[in-house]
Amino acid sequence: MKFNSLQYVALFLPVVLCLYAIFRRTKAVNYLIWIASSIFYAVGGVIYLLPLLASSILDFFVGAAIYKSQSPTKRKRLLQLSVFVNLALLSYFKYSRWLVESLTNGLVKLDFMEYPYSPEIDLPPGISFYTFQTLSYTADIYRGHMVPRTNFVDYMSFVSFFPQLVAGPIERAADLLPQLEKTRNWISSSDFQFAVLLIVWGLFKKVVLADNFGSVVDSVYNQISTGTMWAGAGLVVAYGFAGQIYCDFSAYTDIARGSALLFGINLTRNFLTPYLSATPSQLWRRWHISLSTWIRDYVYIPLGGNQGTTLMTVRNLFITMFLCGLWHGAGILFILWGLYHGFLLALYRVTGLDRIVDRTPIWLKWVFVLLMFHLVCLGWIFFRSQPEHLSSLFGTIGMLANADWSRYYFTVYMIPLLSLGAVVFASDLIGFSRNTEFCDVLRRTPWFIQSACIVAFYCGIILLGKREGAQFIYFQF
Amino acid sequence: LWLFIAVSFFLENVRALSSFISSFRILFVAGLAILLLELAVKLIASPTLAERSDVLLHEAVQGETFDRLLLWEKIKLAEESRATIVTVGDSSGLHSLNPDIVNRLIGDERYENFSTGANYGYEAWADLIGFLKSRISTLKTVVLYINPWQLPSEGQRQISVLAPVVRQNLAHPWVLLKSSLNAFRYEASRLAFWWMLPRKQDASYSKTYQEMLAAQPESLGFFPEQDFRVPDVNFGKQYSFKYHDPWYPAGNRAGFIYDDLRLVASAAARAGVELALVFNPVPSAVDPGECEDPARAELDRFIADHPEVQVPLQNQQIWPHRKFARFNHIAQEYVWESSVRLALILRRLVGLPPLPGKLPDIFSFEAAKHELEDPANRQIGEWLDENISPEADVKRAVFAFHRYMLTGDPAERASIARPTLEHIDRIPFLRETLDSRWAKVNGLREQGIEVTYDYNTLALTMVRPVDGAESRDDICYVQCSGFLHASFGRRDPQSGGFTVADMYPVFWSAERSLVIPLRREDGRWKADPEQTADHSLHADPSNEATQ
Repeated sequence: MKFNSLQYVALFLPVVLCLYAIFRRTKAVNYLIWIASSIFYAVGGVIYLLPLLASSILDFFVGAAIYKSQSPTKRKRLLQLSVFVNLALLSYFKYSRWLVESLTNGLVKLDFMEYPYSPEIDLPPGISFYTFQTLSYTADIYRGHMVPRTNFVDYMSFVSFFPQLVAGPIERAADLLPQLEKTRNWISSSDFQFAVLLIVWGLFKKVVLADNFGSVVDSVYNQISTGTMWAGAGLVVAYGFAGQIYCDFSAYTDIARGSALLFGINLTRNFLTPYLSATPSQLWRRWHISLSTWIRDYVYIPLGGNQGTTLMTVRNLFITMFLCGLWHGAGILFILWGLYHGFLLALYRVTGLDRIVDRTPIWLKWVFVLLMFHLVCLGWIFFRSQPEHLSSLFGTIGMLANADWSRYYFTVYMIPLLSLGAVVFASDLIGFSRNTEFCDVLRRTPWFIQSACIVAFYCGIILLGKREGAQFIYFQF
Repeated sequence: LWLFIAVSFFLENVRALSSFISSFRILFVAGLAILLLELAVKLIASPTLAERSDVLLHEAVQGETFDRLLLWEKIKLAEESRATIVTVGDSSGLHSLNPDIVNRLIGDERYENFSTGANYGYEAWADLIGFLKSRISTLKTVVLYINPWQLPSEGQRQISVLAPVVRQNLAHPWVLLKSSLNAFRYEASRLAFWWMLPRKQDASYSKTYQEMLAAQPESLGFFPEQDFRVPDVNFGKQYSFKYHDPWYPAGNRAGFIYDDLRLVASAAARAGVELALVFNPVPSAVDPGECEDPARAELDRFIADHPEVQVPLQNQQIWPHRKFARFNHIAQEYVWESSVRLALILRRLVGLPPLPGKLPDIFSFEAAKHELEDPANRQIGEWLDENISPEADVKRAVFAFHRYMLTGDPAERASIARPTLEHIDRIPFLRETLDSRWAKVNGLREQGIEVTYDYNTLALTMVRPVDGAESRDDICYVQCSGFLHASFGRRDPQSGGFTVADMYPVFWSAERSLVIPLRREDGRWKADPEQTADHSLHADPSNEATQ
């Protein structure tokens, strides 16, 4: 079910909230959350519930077995079993199609096959998110950071909690499960209003900002597919997609946080004005925080983190970011995108730029922010494109230097990007100035400003919201 | 009673209520402000249903599609309409039926054209019937006017992509709750995405739509097909439709045709209007393929089971291909003929006596048998080698227009049809763009960079006149589709070798393939760009209705 649909906003959420109000103090409340989450998820296809159940049930029992076992070898084996099965499930749905296609394409080129083969495998929405979530459950039990749960319903409401099921934030069991297990009071009027504010702001970001950024980007790609090229098209894609993916994903997180807060649950913050980062390490502390901390805790640090030699640190960074790229999708360009960020992290670390930036005056920091933003935008071209688009897109950026015959298009395409970008920049700057997000700053303003903002978001959605908008980008991951 | 309860509750609980409102004042005030804003806009601007609809997308960068603009105009038309008879259906009706002509021949009845396009589909037409009846109190009869090859089929269902747009904007209960602010979306998007003050006619609307606007409101929904000439050629078996859903249980008599027509018939019955089914004539040069009989059988079953649906012309009527601009779109000069044809049908439907004077008796036509000549479709690469010399000249002429648009090279103008050039020259922006491109290409040439074209990846097909009366041995046509590669690179002055620096593939789909006339002179085929403007080829002195 889409967050930005009337079905969710006007029907599903109010109905579940009403039922929650009725069952809030009973033991049935987590049954309600589990059932509601299953309905929310099954709207996309009932069949998708199977891998979700398989992964959850396995980790529930493996977690219990790890806790009971006294033998370190057995505990390790059980953890390996959980990791293997979860990654196998993820690989089957996410990577097998790509691998088979790549392999058979190679065989076709070598004349061993006549046509490439493409298996029909649908990717269950959010599989990358819930797989990591259940994996963290067993890993935390293995490390002794938490004890396994005996109540399967509580556990399932944690794994499938609908606000964050499909596109995160990737919650740790130690954070989310205790909140779900306890009897929750009805949230305060202040929290309720903040939750609504988060949802409306998220909807505004999705349908006004992200979808309109996406419309510009899609238009460029449509032109590429018909062979039309103009100077600066690559730059439009880079800026446009940077805006689209940030607004899209952070909008999802805001709606998820707002929805969860209505049920008295606080979800992890996933973004913190990432495009105002001056270094790659700052970026990854501010972008998709739940994933970057997951990878840090379960991949980077176990590999040795930055505790070894510089060479070891660089190796660890590349391995971590390679896996981060692979997590996002099956395709060589996702891997390249991950490695590119690994390279940026290593470059700033090895050259000491990380430390230099910290000591520079404010105005120079802004120069580094601008540089970092453009480096990130460059990476988004890899993330969004198909391999055959790359040379054309980068070529059009070069064409800008001496082009005049196609500049008209560049201007036409940049105007909406500047309009939309101004809103993103202004809101992020407000958040950045208080080291938080825009909505958190808004919450501390006088009530009439908050009311005025809600009215403004509503008008924005009606007047400029894209009709028949796209699905959230991270649903496909 | 409710008022009393509410007031009592308020008086008794005023403090609790006040506290409650105060706790949620951010939301209460915001909600109230939104409500007041909506009411104010509704009272002051009084937006119409079309203005409040989401039919137009008002997107950044991308203009509106013709289909959406068309639907928008139809909704506007419905809000003012006083029609007693309307047509709904595919584009064969949109382009063929001029209410101005029909209304002169149907007495006191008033006809308006609500035909849209095939990509709306039967679900949309069914929804449209309900919507029209709710808006037009005088409506009595709806004619489902379709091209016979647009009968419900698997292929037709796949292209019915606009049905949800009609449902969400005209037939869904949510329509009542559409925001009044929607009426200002156009202005807002112009300001935000174009940094321009809104104008009624601007770049976000297509040129075709500008023409349509210019034709409103006199057209009453009719929109003439563009006056471009597709020659009298055999297009082969264009249609291979599957009329039955293989997943239907064996022995079930229903198929796509039966089900979708029943859907429209039910919508008409619910709306309380009479439904008639009329087919557009079909062009002689299109081979109906092998699916005609199953379709006919299923259609007959529908007619037998639904006596309330009028089907005045039971046989498929075939018109000479010269009367069509496209497969199923009547050419402009024959619109009056198809409009008269509809008027004759409507007269019978509403019980008016036949018109006096010499007019064709369209109701007594036999089902026509059409023998196609040898289509002679062959790959032009092979054919050109055998028949056309010099080959390069022909190809140059075929792609002169594309090269001109790419480079602005004035030398190409000699090979482009005069009407096309006149059209280009009338648009200042296009002229400026072409001049600028030519300056750029000249600049590249000074740097030793040339533009070359690779025609080998194009699929070229020869098409020939098939209508015996019109067939001319000295004229034939070439259809081109597929990829043309334009390469930018340097030529080595010594060896003459060409190094490609960049390549721009341009794709022509089969739907918008070029059709280029060739003329045989002195035993050789030569490109004849002027032919596209030669209307004399299509004149029809033997037209029975004109006599």
